[in-house]
Amino acid sequence: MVSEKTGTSLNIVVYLKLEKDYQAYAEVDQSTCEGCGICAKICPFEVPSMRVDETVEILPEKCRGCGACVPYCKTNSIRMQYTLNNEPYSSTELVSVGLRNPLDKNAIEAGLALRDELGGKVWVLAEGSPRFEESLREALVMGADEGILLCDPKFMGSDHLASSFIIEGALNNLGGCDLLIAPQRTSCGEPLFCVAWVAERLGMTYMPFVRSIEPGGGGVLVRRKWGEKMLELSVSLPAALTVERGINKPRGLSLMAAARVMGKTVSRWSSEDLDFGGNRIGEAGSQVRLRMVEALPKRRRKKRKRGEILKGSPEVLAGTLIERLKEWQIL
Amino acid sequence: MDFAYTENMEMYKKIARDFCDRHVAPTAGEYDKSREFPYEVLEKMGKEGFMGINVPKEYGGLGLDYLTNAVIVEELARASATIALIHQVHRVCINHLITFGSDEQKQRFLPGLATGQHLGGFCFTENQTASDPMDFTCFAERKNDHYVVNGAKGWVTNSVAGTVFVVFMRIAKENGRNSFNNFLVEKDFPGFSVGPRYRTVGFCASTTCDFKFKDMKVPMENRLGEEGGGLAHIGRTIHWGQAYLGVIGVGIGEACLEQAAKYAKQRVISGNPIIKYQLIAQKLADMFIEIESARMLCHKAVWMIENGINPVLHSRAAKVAAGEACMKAAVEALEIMGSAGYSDEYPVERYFRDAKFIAVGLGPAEIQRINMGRAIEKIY
Repeated sequence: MVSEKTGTSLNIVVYLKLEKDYQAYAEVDQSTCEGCGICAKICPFEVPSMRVDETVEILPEKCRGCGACVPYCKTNSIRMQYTLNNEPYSSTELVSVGLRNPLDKNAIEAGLALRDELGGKVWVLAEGSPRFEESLREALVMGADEGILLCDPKFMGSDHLASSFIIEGALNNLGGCDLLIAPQRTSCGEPLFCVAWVAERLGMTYMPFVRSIEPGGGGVLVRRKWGEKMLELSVSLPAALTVERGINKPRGLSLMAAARVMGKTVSRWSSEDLDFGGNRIGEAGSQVRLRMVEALPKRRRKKRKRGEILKGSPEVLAGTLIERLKEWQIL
Repeated sequence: MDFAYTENMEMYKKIARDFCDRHVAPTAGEYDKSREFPYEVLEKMGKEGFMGINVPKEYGGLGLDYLTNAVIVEELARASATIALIHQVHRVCINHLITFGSDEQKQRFLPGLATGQHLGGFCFTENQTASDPMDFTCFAERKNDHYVVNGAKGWVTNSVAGTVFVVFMRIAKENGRNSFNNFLVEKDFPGFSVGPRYRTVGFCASTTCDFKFKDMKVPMENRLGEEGGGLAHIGRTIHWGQAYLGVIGVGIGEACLEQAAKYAKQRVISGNPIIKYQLIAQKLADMFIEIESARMLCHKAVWMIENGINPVLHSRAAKVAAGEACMKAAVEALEIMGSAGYSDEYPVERYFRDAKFIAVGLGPAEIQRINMGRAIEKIY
């Protein structure tokens, strides 16, 4: 199913895993709230407001769900409430549209640059909720040939293993690819292991931490980080690469490109369009499940020791300094 | 009825803002101070397709609809009103050519205008008679296969850098409605001369001069439309221009509001950021109300023009409302920022100087109100 090709024109798939799509908001227990108002001071979005009966009110539709207020509440009256995509198609979404992972653009640019040099086609696959269509439209404006949103309530809660089956299903639909490119990390900093699973099962060469890609050596030549060293490797195709931030400078969006793709639409594939071979996706197919999300307590900065100013004539100063340095075993 | 921007409009807005933040806004202050014409910025805009946003696709432009044009113009004006005005006058020329030009004329001029290789301009006003075309004296006399033009036009934007101008001229001595025509005048015509540059209060980088025509030959194929049909054409083009001039005002107002709100959140007096004080908050709220109302009027006027409805009241109302909104926004922003706003450390003083033009340009607010009064008299 993966084409055995080392020729000049490449079929490149860029895979983006978009943010986990939970909705979160803080809820105040009115029976225990003392109305001290510290949450209102902590909240970066100024959501909590005081009520007439001197308790605090947090409106769920305004709360961004960052959880910053939770550890500061003296009476533990604030609880975070999460809903994990029970109704992903509802229009009343509590969380504002998540920023796209900045690495995504690097991954797309890597695919586009290779295509521009060698010819071929670039598909951008993204797994996420309908509101990420905007991100895919941006990919089209950048120059991707097609954008496909993998979107279905059944996909929600997929871990990396389950995600890898989703990618596999999508690649099957596309009829395989020569190169699968993904960002090294998702926006929450999590490495994209699903690409490794896909590569393993489809017999692709897997290469993480890629810092540069160029054609050559019967496939592609990549440079990757290996501890403190940089390795230059020749990778045979088909291959799956995860790229790091320094790999390129993503191209900007231009009006002309936008006008060119004006009529183009992003296709949407659901679980019915893909073949997974059994119950392998979503929460049911996942080994790891998200149970809850908790805000970490705020880190306190250590106080720096105050410096000491020595006084006296230059000779005395030099003497004291040398003594001190010996004391600290520097000399 | 839908107030939401379409997905495409959102994308264009994002791209335009991104472009303006990178290429237009950073140099806007410098060009304003040096009064140099921003050739480099316009070159970049040409490469990115900005100069041809209203040129149909078959002539090498982007062929965007009127509202998307308005969204892009507002973004340009938010970054630099001067760039937006240069772009606007260029688009007026294009719009007139698209609406009233023959296929042959479009083929000749539009591809160059769409890429920014040619810069368009528009000459209507005459210094002695201001906005009333019935008193205009610039005269084109027909001789066989060409016209011989004698006279002058005042206050021409893009006069130094422009290469193609739509010029409104009288073709018969009598004072009838059918004695006018528009001509495409190219700069290299013999007998064409550009007067000294005006030193304006705002829009300093834009070049505004007078034109003089002495025995200038204009070939027959450069006449736009049928003989004698110029007055009706110019009316439509001016309505179009007024609506978009309003959009520029909205852009300036938006920039003022943004700058003032940011400053009011940072500036702390007696332990509070000044945005917490009611007098400042009220100023910001009023700015928003006026700017948003003007934006709605402008968008409606633009929408009416696109749908073939005569915007006899709306385009004028849009220009007047936007002119007042942006001037008030600029004054309020300057007052909120105090001395900082009065100095050239912040761009607000530039907005303040630019804003006044929206009320003055393309027929001052007074004549607009008089004309609106006449129209209301007929309608109601």
